[in-house]
Amino acid sequence: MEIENAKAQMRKGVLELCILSVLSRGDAYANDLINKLKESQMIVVEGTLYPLLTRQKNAGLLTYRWEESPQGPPRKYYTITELGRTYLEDLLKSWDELVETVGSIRNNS
Amino acid sequence: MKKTISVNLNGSVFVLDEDAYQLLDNYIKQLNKHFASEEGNQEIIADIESRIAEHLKSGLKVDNQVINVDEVRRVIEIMGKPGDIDDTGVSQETNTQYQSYRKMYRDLDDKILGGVCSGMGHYWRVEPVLFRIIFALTILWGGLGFFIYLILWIVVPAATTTAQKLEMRGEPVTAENIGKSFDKKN
Repeated sequence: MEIENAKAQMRKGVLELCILSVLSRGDAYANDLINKLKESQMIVVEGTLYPLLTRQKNAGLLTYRWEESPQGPPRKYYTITELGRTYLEDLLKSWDELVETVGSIRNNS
Repeated sequence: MKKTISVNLNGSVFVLDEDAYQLLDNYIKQLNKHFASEEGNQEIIADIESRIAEHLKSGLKVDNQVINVDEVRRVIEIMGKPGDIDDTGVSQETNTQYQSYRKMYRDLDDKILGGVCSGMGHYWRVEPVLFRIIFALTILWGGLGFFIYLILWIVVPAATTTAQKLEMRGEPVTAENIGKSFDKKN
């Protein structure tokens, strides 16, 4: 069991939550999402983001529209849906519970 | 002199040299295979392709610059191999199973005349000396070997690009392997 692998698994679990969190504060291009998530070291390789975005779109959690860009072809501009917001709330709730649980387990030992 | 290939990524044209093209083509094929059973896979690939286009564009110093294999490798590193992108899917075995069969080429790095015997050696994993002896004997006895050799020289292509040399030896054309044989050369 490698420590890096364990860390990567942890990050992966909350990545969905992070994408929706960023979008809940405002619409974003894939580039904006990548920059934010890379900055906070949530993703290592950029490719990770795209299958997640497509899955979330197919699940109705987000949508996108095409926006013209000053340089180059039009780009996808992502928006969170109402369903996405309720989903995010649910995820955040279980995240808080998880943090609390882990905290209490650590303090008891 | 090197052949170049132009590709269309998300509506922009890029000019790649042959090795770079092989590597990129292989990468996208790998992605296609990885996401084959996923709903909306074409959309995922298209998104990734357009991101690759952005990275390649940002790496260009002048218009119409030919993109080489190092540049493609840099971008693949940023995007991630299919296994790094997500391991939730089916994949695992897709990494190992793609393209590791051998192709017959003439090996110009190890040739007496046209590299036919060394190419056959790679293909059947036999010492090329063996074929050389057989050809020498058949040329002496009646000369049939001479014509066979000439035909093979014409018909079998020479391995000139790094990708072809890897195919000749039956090694998969991946970023690491092309990198390896580049290091060997320099």
